[in-house]
Amino acid sequence: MRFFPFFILAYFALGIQFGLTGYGAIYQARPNLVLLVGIFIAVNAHRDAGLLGCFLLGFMQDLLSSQSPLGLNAFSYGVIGMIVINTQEFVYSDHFLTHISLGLLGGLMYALLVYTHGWVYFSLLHGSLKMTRPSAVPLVVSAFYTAASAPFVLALLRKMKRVFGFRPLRSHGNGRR
Amino acid sequence: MRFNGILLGLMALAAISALAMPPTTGDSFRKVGILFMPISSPVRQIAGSVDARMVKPIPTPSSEASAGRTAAQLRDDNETLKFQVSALTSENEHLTGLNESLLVKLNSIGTLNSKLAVRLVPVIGGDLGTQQVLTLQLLSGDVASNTPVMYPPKNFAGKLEVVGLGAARVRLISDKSSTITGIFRRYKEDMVLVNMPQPIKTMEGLGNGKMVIKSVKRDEAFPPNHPETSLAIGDWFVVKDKDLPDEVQGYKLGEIESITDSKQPQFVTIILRPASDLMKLREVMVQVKK
Repeated sequence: MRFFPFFILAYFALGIQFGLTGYGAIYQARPNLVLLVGIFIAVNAHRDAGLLGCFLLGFMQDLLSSQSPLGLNAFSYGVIGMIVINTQEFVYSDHFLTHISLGLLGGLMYALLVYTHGWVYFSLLHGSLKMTRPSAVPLVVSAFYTAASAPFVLALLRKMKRVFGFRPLRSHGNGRR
Repeated sequence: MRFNGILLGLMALAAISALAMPPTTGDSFRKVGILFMPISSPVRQIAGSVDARMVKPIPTPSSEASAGRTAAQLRDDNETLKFQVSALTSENEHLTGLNESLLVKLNSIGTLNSKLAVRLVPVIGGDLGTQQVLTLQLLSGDVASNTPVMYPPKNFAGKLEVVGLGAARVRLISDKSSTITGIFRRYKEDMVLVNMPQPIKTMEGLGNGKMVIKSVKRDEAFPPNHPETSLAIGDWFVVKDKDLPDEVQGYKLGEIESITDSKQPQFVTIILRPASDLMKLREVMVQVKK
């Protein structure tokens, strides 16, 4: 995978997500465009590059987030990247049903990780902090919203696939998996 | 294998940091919002324009309550308002004259070393998570944390939290970790805003665009001997907070949307709604040094 186009895509995704705050929200939930970019990378890129791409996306999101501990998004996107990469051989990466199901899986996984982290962090480890943990409803609604927007966003990204120089699946080094 | 090891190490480090570090860790270098301004700012402008055309704005509780007024009543209100505007205009002219002469006197004795000015600042983005936070493009370094942030005409939006190079973060009053104190006010039939007798109350954000005042004594909200001073839907809640400067005292925080029974007997919970959706603000006002 070429990392220069990846960083440009990450910059655009984060910029759009950052700028759209407050708009198009349902129950305070918005589609997670950055997660969709992560899924696009994980489903198409070589295993190592895909994992690193997801981790870096999460880290960049961490830098933009307020009052969430540094590393939460990097870890979450890394875990989601691992899961999605392991599905590469079994799914048809360009089918819209794959996009919806991976969007939902990624969104729910993200919701589970962020909610569990919030519970452990604010209830068990740092109870004295004057902050509140994330609510479950916006996270779950966001997962479904992300899944609903996945076919559109991923179809758009699919058109730019060649720019990223993804290697075909059979040349990914089968011994690794 | 080595690469996998490094990546797993990074993930482990991220997991440890996410669990062990306080949320404010790295705030000094987490002020990168301004870097995304070339993308986020036009996106926000477009989203705002589309939203203004396609999404019906949520009316305030008081305008919802007055939706059923007849044309005659509205004409009557209009006439009253005209008189009010006329009276206030002449009063304003008188006060402006007084203010100018006082400023001249103060300047002559050199007591005004640092003047404050209100500047209109564009919003470039918000929190990527679920927090009610906005990022402002603030090129001036003449602001500090906890500076109040307002929006037109005289509404209170929140306080600046992290001020970085070129950008600042404002925690909105509707965020879950926001608290502010205030008092109730009501528009009387003759269009005069009067203070209600209820004592100062603490308002907290709900995290869903609304605010709450928890556990208000029922007798305070609905005084048994003075039913005319009972709180009602549409009453204003305005700033009265000793931690905030005098200039923003009286700024509107929101209107009462509902008053419901609290879990504790003899107590009620008051839900407030701001004048507009705070997360959709495209410009806010910040007090900066001249």
